[in-house]
Amino acid sequence: MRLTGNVSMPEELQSLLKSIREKDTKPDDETYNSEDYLAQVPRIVDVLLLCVFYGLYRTQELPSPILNDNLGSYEFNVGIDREITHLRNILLMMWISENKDLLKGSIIDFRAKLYDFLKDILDDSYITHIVFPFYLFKAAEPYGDVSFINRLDRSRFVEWEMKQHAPERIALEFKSRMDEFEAKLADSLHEIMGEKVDGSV
Amino acid sequence: MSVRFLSVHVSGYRGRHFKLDMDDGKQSIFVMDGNTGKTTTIELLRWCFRFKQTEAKYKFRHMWSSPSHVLDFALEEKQKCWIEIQFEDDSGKHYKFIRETIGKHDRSKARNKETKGDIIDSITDTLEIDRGGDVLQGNKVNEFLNEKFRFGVSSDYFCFDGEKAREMIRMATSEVKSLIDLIRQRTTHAQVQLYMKRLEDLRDNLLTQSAATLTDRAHRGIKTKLKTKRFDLSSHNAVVGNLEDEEAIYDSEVTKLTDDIRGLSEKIRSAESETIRRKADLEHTRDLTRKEISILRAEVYNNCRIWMEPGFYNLVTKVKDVVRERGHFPDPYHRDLITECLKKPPTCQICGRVLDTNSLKRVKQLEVQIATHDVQNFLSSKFVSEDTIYDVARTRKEIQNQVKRLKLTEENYGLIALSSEDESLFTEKSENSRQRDVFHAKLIETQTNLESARDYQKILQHEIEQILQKSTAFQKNKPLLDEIDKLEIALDTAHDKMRKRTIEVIGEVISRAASSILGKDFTAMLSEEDGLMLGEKGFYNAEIGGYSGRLILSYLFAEAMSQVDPIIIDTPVGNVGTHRAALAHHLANNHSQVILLCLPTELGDFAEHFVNPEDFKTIRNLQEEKE
Repeated sequence: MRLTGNVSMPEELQSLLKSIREKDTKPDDETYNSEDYLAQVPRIVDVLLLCVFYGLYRTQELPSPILNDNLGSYEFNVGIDREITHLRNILLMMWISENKDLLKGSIIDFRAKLYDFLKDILDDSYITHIVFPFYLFKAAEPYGDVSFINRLDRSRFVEWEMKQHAPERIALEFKSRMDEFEAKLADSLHEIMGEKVDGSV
Repeated sequence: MSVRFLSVHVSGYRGRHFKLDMDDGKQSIFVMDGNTGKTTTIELLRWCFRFKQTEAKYKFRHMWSSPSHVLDFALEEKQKCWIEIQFEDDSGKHYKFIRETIGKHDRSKARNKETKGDIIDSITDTLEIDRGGDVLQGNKVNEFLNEKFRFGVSSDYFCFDGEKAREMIRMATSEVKSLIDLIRQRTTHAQVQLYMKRLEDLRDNLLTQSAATLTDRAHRGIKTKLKTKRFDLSSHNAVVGNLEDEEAIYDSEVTKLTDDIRGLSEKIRSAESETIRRKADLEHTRDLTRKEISILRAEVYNNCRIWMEPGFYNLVTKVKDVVRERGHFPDPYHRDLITECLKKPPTCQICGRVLDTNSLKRVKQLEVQIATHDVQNFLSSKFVSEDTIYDVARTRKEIQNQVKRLKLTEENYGLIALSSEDESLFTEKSENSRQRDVFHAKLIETQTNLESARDYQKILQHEIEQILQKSTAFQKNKPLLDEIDKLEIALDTAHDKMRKRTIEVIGEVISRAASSILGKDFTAMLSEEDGLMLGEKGFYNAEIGGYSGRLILSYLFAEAMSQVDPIIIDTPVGNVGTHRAALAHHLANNHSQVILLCLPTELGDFAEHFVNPEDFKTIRNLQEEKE
């Protein structure tokens, strides 16, 4: 998938992406690093993807259209095939896990609903306009004292100490949320694997 | 251009009525008390020379007020003011310039509580050449004076006063960019500009000639497009030029500071004291450890695409395998087939049998469950991982170790006490490092902007090329148009070299003059990077020479910037201190005519170097004398 045009997002993420692009520095204070850590991501879109996946792992909810006043946007033109394939597979697993009871009934009814869902998530425009904004706004919600986006912002310049908002701490938290999410999903899906499913037409 | 001013006669402007008579163009000292029209004279000359007749309304400035009133505020009725300036050129040809202004000064207050001021009906310029041989009027007067004598661009410099001097001191110290812009304007070579203009005209002619085969509308469209794009390109070239200059400035600052830091580090390393060396070692370890932490933390985000990857690949593939269909009809064939089967009467399109209720129900369900190709591909594709591994937990552990090491180093560093002299080496080094970081950040930002600007430059060039290529009518003259482009680039390069050389020459002249007035220890340095600085014994900075030294430097700068030889100065020696005589010698030796508007207190040790005291002329308001 090639992500092109404007993606709706929380204003704080928009300003974060802009300031990374503008290569902000913090050279006047030697208690911090002078060059932005977050600017070291291979592509700016990776910051957006980090927020999308974090929002997904934290809420563990399937996406739905949202209305929000705090709306910003940022223009992209970049290929994100691999990450979107991951996202689609994860969304599929979540949907199956949530609708596993349907498997107890007619496989045809189950598939009819599954295909409707897959039709949505395989549509690039649905990903850009529904999935991304939904999880991005989840990543902007305060969790503890601050939101994930805010912590990413604070991780750009960090004192020479172990800090809650340091890049390594954020990466570890992301990983542990991901592991937790995957473990929960795997438990639920293993249950289905035990069900008798007739895969033929 | 050398001219000789013969007289300046002011009548009515700002209530002044006097005549300055220069006795056939000799050096002249006019003694004028405070508030008698010295500044008004200088400002009137600048106003007359800088602004065309049609552009002069409400453009008069007086010291810090701009615009300021030019009419006599004491008169309530309509008034007519005029100034007459007579001068001769090298060949002895006589010129008489007159600017007449008719209007009324309204002293009533406007809503904003400020005086309404001048209400000017008309301004009229006249230039009589060679005692009636020719007469110019209107805007042609200013155009002629500018083209022949360069009065317009030089008026700020050959008509000089304390206010202008202060402005230059300020620019030289805190507005270097504005000063450099002035230098650039001054070092623009008129002849090169003329060639550029001719090339532009030639291009225009070729385009018009090529367009002769087109309809008027098509011609206008292409020509307008080309003109707009060329204008954009030329403005953008200037932006790129400015960014390149900025890049050079920041780059040279970073290099200079790096050299300074290296020098200081060398001094610290070679110090005999064991304590200094120990402190330096700890400082080195501290910096290295910080760098190490920075690298590790930057790596975390640099590897985010690896640690973002999900892990439950096999499970996903298995689940997909369970839910997907098998053995369906190929898409889109199945859709047509099912649709055909469901048409009334429902009939199997493969065996021709009429469908009973159960069969009909099954075919309808078949239509629902058959996945599209996209869905089928997605469900049958394997979810695979990349082999690359990045261990975030391990990186965090490494950072933790480095932070511990840093804390210990900083504690030991803080325990070492040095003498204030030794301590200053470290402070200076640290301050230089901080400054270098600031300039380095600016350098990076400028380089990024420059890169984008160059990209845009290429896009514009490409667009121009495209417009020309698309129109076959322009193809015939394309080789010539290409040659014009090449010539323009060559001229630009040559112009740049000439400008650099001119700046060097101006710098040398100012420096020699500074040495002759302030003493041999003093020199000056002029460059596009640092602007204008005074130096003592080879050390340059903004404070050297005190106020009087910098005031003299501003005189020298004005002389270098002026392209008109006489110099007219208002209150010439205010604040120049003990350098009065040296300044007088310098001015007398370097100008064919010096016109000084002096306060009575400024004469001693100065004015007599130009003319004998009996030739000093005391100026009074002619109107008051009449009364």
